[in-house]
Amino acid sequence: MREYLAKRIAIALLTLYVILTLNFLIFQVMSPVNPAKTILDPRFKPEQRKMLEEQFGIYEAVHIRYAKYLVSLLTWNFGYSFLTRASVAEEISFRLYNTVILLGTVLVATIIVGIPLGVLAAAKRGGKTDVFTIGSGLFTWAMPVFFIELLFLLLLSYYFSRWFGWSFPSSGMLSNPIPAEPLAYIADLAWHMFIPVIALVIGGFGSWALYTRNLLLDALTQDYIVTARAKGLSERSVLYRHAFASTLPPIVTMITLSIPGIVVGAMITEYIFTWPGMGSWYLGAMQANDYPVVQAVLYIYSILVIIFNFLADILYGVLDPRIRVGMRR
Amino acid sequence: MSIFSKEGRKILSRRLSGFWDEYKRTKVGIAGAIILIIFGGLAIFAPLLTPYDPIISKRLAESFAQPQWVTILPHNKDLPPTQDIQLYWTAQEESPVPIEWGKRVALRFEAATTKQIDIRLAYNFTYKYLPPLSFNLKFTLNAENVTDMTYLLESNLINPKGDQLNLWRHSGQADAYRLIEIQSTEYWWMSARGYEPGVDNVAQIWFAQQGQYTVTFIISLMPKTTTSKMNLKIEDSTFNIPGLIHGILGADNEGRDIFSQLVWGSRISLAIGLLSAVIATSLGVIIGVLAGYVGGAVDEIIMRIVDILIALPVLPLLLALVFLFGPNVIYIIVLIAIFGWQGLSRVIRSQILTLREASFVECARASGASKTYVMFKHLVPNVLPIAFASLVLSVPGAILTEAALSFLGFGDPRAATWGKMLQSAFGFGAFSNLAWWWILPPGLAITLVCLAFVFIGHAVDNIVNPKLRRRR
Amino acid sequence: MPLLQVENLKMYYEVLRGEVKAVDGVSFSMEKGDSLGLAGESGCGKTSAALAILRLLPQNGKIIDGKIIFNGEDLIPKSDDEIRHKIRWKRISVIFQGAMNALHPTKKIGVQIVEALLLHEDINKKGANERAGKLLDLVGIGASKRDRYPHELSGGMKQRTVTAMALACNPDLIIADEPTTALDVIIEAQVLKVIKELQQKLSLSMILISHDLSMIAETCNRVAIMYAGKIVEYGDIVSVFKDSAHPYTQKLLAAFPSILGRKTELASIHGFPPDLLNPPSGCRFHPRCEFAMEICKKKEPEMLALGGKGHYAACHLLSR
Repeated sequence: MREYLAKRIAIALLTLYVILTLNFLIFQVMSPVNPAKTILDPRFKPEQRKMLEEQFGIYEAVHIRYAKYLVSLLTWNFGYSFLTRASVAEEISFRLYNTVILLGTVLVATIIVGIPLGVLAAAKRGGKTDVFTIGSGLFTWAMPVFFIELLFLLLLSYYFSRWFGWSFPSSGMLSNPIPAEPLAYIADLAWHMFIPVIALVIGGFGSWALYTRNLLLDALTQDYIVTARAKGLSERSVLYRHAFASTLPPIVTMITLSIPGIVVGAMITEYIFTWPGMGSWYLGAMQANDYPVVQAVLYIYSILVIIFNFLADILYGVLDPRIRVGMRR
Repeated sequence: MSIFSKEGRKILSRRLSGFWDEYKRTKVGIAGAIILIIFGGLAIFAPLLTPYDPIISKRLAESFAQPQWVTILPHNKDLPPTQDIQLYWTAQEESPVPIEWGKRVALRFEAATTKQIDIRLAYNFTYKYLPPLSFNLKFTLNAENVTDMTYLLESNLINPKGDQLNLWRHSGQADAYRLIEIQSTEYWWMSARGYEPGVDNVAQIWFAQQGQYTVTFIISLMPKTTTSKMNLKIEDSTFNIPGLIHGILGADNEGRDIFSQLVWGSRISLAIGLLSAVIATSLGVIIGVLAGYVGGAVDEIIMRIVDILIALPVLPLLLALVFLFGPNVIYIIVLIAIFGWQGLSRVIRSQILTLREASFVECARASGASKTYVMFKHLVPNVLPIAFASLVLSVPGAILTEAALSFLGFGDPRAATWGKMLQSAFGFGAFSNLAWWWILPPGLAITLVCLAFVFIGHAVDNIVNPKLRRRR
Repeated sequence: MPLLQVENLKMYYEVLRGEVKAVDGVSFSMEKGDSLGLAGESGCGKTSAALAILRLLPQNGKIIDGKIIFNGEDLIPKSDDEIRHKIRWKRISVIFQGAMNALHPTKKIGVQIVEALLLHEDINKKGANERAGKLLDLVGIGASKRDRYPHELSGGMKQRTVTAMALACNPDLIIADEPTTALDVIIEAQVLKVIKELQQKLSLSMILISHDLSMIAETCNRVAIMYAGKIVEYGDIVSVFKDSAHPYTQKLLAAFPSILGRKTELASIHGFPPDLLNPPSGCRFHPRCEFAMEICKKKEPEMLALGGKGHYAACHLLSR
């Protein structure tokens, strides 16, 4: 177990190092744009310029720049945004919060709908639930996520407004002015979240259900299930305590691995619904050639993926005693 | 058994036909194949199927014209299709001057007296639809050898009630060669006739009735001397009313045919998807075989690289790379492929690891075959089924990635893919205009094509890996 | 009263192309304390017959006809709930083929045994834990291994765990399905030793399913030879093995080389086991039988009593 852990940590650190170097290579070395331009901007104040030149070693040799770049990334110093001239590091927490609020809700809701559905589908294999699950799983997997969002946007915002005179908001996260009172704030937030959440849950539950169903069906064909039945356990016990229990490691792993996905995949959703999160920040930065923001966001995405991949590995080892207790003969 | 020997080929063809027999039995496999054939057909025969160029032909109809078949619904039945009325001018009464009329009006005037000569031409047409949103008049005016005289030209529209609207008026004394185009929505034209631009709609007012309409062309020749003369030609006269319905899938914000866009889009979307998937699969096979068969340090290095690549966030990185290096179709294909081979290489590698110990490999080595020979003639053909299944299943992924890229605006601007259609729809007002015919077709096309590949992949998978699990 | 009396049991699997007649009119009986060996080639229906008793068949397996009289009661008309609560594990338990996978991989073996105990016995958790420990002692694994996971045990130990689990509720009958097939010979000997000890200590009634006649010979006192879904010969072990009446039994026995005795060529039975979707007409063995007569192709032979303690065989040769 210990060497499993050690190996995983080593890989995570190595990946991190590679990401940092890749970042440097892409933006500072291979970039067709002058590397200095990716950190400095003519609109910066002279003091800012001087400080950045120091920190990033703009005018020094490549290897010194490399070292300073690595240090700056590791110390969370991302320079200043060209657009806002504010510190990038500060804006991150605000943006990240917005993204997590929206997509965290989506993930939770999708899992709550999808996994039980998958269990039901596997329990009644061939039944209506099963067919529905397979169908919706395949269909929503093939349909581009952003298309589902566009459809719901069209329906719930534009068509509703034409038909009923009211509709869900087509953009933005909160109304202006932002409600002060907490309940009203939450209600306003929910009101704005409605369309993206509905769209993403409907677009996403299918694959969770399908995945769970397949895992469960696989488990149900195992010999130990027949043993459990022979022991006299009720179908329900067999399903939950034996079959589902053995699917917990992969399911928990899947959930852990999905978490960085919500941040990374938010881009399109935030673009469509003009939600002020990390994704739209990233896209906007690219349109405006705001290099410091682009570098910082890419870096954060990579870190998130590394951390959660690592966590998933650990969790799997913890949940599956075959790995936790080691394979002794 | 190598696939290159005669024996091998016979076995291969037998296996393939057996495979095809099995495949024919699966419902999903057939459904998938049919869908693919349809879209493939659209892609290949695109030039034959589309009467219009998807990008260049604009103003084929009004912005956001609906598809023609919405007229099935009763409240839509009188929506006007585009009327492109070729004006074959006819003379109202006997013309005092010899004049050739029809599609081309030509007259040669030599003054005998200084009396003013008026010639009236007209063209009638019936309009039996709901009022349009605009109309325009186009023709070429060619006045030559104008000597000592003034000419006055005028064109009017007369509605069924008999009211007359002046369309255009021009008086001149010299030669002129102009292409005349009158738009009923043009600012100066409207205000000159007493309408308020942005508030009034001339077409709606003047075409409010169904019935017979007349466009007239009045030529007044005013010679100053008895030797005055001129040649006058009016050619290619058209009265165009952009329709509110158009084509199979309606029109976009610039009046372009959406069906053409969809059909041509299939070419590039499918091409990008297939190419990326093929490259990614090939890479996956080669790298997987290398890692699995050569083993040792090479294997370790390759697998570490795979681990790291899998840990990278694909979409943001893809966007960043396209952002830095420019949105070019080739780059996009290559980049999508670069992010797509990792999973397959792992699977292939483990397959190779198992196969490596198989006896036929030992036989080959024992009879003196080199490592590369064994690799290519024995191992690769054996992992081909898995590779094929993976290829089929990775095409939808590639198509979806490309669609996402284009939708966000990072696609090649010259490539009119389905993703780009959705981007245009989103950015140019399809939503506020409820133009579902612009939004649904590209999205559904992507979905159907991806579904087709998933079905086919499913069917292939079931045949290649029959899982005998049906225990209770 | 016999412990178990199976009368004319017919169990078919429904497949797309028809019905696979896996168990086609099987009858046998057992007294308390008997060890009945159920022998035959792979696919002859022996596992299906045994699973049918506990209604552990796959979804497409249907019992068409017959009676399974256990302790005087017919099991077939009983409801699923009754079978689950009263019969399974409590009265009849199973040791499955391939114990490697019969144990749940992420549960400790003690827990798996305790689960069965808590379900059927009037016992609290502590008592169940103790009892589980004692059972593990009984099979020679030791109560100390109670908190181990299956993957930490060797093949033989897993098999013995499954055996311990089968004994948990003191069942009247244990069905052992190929208990040693997946083990190497040495471990097999160990497991057999345990089984024989248990048989003596607890006077277990057992149905032992196997294609290994030598193992059946060592552990059973009665044997039924199955072929293509039917029982062809059946009786006490000595009579069947020494005075086998059915050609198939004779061939089976002949196929086992003897360490003692002259070296002869390995005898095998030519042909392949029949397709149970469309089994041969008449006696199902006739295509492979060197004594086949005209009547064998047309009429199924009846089970006839031969001399000796309840020795029966179904062959037309006997009625001559």
